[in-house]
Amino acid sequence: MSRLPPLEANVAVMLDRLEPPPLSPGFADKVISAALDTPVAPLPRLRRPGWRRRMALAVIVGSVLSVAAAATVVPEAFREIPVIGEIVDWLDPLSKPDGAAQGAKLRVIVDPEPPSGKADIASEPPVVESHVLSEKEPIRQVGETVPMPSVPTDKETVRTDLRRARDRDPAAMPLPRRALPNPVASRPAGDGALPLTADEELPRRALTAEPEPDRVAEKRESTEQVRTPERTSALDTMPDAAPNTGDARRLQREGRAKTPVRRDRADVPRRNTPQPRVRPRGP
Amino acid sequence: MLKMPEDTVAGRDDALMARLAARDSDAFGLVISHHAQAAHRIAWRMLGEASEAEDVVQDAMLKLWQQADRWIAGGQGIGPWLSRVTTNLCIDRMRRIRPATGVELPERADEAPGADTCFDDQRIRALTHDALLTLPDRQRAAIILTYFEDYPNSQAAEALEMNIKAFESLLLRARKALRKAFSERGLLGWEVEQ
Repeated sequence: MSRLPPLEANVAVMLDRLEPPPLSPGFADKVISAALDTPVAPLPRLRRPGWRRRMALAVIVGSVLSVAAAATVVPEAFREIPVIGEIVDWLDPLSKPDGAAQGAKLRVIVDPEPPSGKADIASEPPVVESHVLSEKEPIRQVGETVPMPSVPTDKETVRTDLRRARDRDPAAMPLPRRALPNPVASRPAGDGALPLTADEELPRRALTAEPEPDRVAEKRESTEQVRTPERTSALDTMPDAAPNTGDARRLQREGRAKTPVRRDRADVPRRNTPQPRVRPRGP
Repeated sequence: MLKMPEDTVAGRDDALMARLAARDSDAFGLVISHHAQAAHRIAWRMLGEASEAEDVVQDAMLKLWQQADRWIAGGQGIGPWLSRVTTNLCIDRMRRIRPATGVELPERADEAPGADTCFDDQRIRALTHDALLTLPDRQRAAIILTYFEDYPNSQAAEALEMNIKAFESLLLRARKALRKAFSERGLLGWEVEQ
């Protein structure tokens, strides 16, 4: 409803005089014919959700529901933040730098004692089978593992073993390297053929040269020669004997063997050991 | 004036619009016979020309025909919709005419004989219509919708796409301007003398 006052009477009277003329005859027919002549654009068809949209919506809704269900049922999974280091250790325990932990995850299986026929041959290295502990295996298995034995791998032992094996069955062992025929080495230097080039001369010299003596074996043999049974018993009776050095031998020949002065170890202060400030009083 | 109960008219209009959506020309003829005269009154009072008013009414009716399938039933009926469309079409037409001329339309010269010699109704109508046409477009539309078409202020404000406060302010300014225009033409004094 209007809250304004009504129009003034004299103004209303003047406005009432404004009577519009009637519509022209045939106006309705003109408008109808114009309407029928005007092409009406068809309305766009309402889009119904197709199967692609329905499928996409189903996938999205399913994903959201699964995430919500997982978050509701297993809330602990979201409290532990995964760390990449733990995952790597779980996947590859050997990559862990800690030696103790690495050893704990290895099961060492040592073959039983070798048969008597092979007693003089160095035993084969033990078979080490790497085995990753599963989560359900108890940790006490770590304490049950057998420590890995030390495997002799030094050069001298290997050479000794090879030499013994060659002495026992020469056909089974491969020929030494220097026995292989070499055309360059077998070719004499002054046989009238073409002179050797610098590249051929160097390997020929290397192959025709005398093999380098096994200094370690020689030293050992000399030591064994020195340590004859007679000398061993004699040396054992001289606990304070001078070492077998050049100076000691010279002094021994001159009859004034230099005997090292043995001092009580207790008198020698150890390095980085503070000296007692107060001497202990004597009795 | 065509005055019918709102609910009856609205229900009848919904049925007619359903037939228009089915491209029923007979129903369109009924709509024209029911509502074209009211739309023509608005257009004639807004424009002052019978032919232009008919053109505007025809445009409004064609728009109703083309948009019949978008009609939402249960509204206020065809009358308010047609009044709003007709008013806006008249305002658009007047705005197109004025830039073409470049200047405001001058007041019409009083070609009638002197007031003391000719006081017939035709001259008074011409003066009244001339005074109404001097109002700005929206003020004129506010006077036409509220006084001639007897629209409530809320419906008239909706037709002009204004809120009710702004429309009432506009209507007050329109009344003041109309009174001034009447007094300048000597219409009020003559009416008083009558």
